[in-house]
Amino acid sequence: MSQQTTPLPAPRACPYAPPAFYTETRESGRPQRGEIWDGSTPWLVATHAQVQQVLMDPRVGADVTDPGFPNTDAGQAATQGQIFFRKDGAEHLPIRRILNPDFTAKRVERWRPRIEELVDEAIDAMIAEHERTGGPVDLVTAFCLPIPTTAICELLGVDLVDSPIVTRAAHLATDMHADPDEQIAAMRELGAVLTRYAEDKRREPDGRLLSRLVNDHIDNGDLTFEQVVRLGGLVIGAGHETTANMLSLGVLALIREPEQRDQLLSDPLAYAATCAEEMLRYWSIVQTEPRRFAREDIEVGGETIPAGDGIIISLAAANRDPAVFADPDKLDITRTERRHMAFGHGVHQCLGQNLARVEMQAAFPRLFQRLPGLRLAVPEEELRFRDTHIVYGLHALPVTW
Amino acid sequence: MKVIIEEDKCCGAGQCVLAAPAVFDQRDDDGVVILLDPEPPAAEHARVRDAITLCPAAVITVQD
Ligand code: SF4
Repeated sequence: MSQQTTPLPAPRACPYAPPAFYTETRESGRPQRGEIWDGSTPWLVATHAQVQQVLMDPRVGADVTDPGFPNTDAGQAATQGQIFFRKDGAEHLPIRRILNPDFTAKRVERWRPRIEELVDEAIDAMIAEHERTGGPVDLVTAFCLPIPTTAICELLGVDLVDSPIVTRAAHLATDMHADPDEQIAAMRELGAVLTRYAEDKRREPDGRLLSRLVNDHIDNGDLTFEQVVRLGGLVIGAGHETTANMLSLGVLALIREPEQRDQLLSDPLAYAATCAEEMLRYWSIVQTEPRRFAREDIEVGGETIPAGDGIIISLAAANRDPAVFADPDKLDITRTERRHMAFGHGVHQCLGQNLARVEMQAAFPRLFQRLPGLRLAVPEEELRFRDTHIVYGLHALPVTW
Repeated sequence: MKVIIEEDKCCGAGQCVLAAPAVFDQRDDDGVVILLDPEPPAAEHARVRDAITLCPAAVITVQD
């Protein structure tokens, strides 16, 4: 191990590849220490096998309030200590199972026709805007955000699609450099709106997620009213930022590599699913997470991670591990190896993954079918990537056709 | 092939259903895995093995 530790999260040199230190750590075959903001030196784990091992190990904890947890900032334990997916065991799995019914593979499949409609509506609106202004359209605001935001709001049963409250709260919550006071204020504002919705659902149940939580899980003691409101906020935030960024990055990749786009369009039914999985693998947008800590000494790749040490996982490096993926730096929408871990692994694996899949499967082919001439409206070097966010993505994607 | 599931560990991610829909389903009330076919025919074996590698919580095992 070198004397000087690399700061984590490490910056990317190339927007289309994981940071060099992450790739080097994977290539070394061993976890490496890096240094985080508070001076502690958690381990970076980056091979596919080791990431899988660590995320499935019951001796590895996810509780942000534990002293061993490598926090993203000084306020994390206070702002996230109540969140179920930042907990372990009995504080996590029962809550996860309360949310699961709205996100099972089959339930989400039933949303597909509605999601396809949302995709077409977003494209209609883009075309109208383009005709009106004659100018470029920002794909992030016109396409990538409205589709997942509308879908998650309908699934939850709230009409907050055009609400700046939602956008602000979701955006601030995933910006590592955001002012904590602003973050808390935005979450409170969202909480107030959701409280009103939850009260309404008590009187008028509609079978959607928020109604289900408030009517089926409070009286029996599963959840408090406050927990229901907080879960509603989490579901909105998670469903809003993540897929939106996958959509913008995926479209960018298909614009940059026209042969991949042509392949997709040659048989959209055949390639919609593999294209979505490949985009998930290639971009691996969760860039500063997952974070864990060792509850006991554990052996990883010949290294002993001592009890109490923090662990930071690089999904992006693991998802380009040549031990699992042939020619891993190449984007290949026909790839059938599905063992990427873009949604994480272990019992904390993404709750909304099947919804995200359907959204991507519906969006990528349809957009290029309807706008085959879609191209960047600015030079590629001018694109600004979300380097300081938990979730990687683009701030804007100006396009024309 | 005999498929065994450990329900207690299941987080309901549904990867098994995507991989082998003839063998696995999820319960409506909590998303936990349902084993539809504990002894699937040979044609399903590859899909069951995919489900095992994709399941994030090591819920599924088989005895040959
Ligand atoms: S993939 Fe594993 S954790 Fe997910 S529903 Fe199936 S058995 Fe449960």
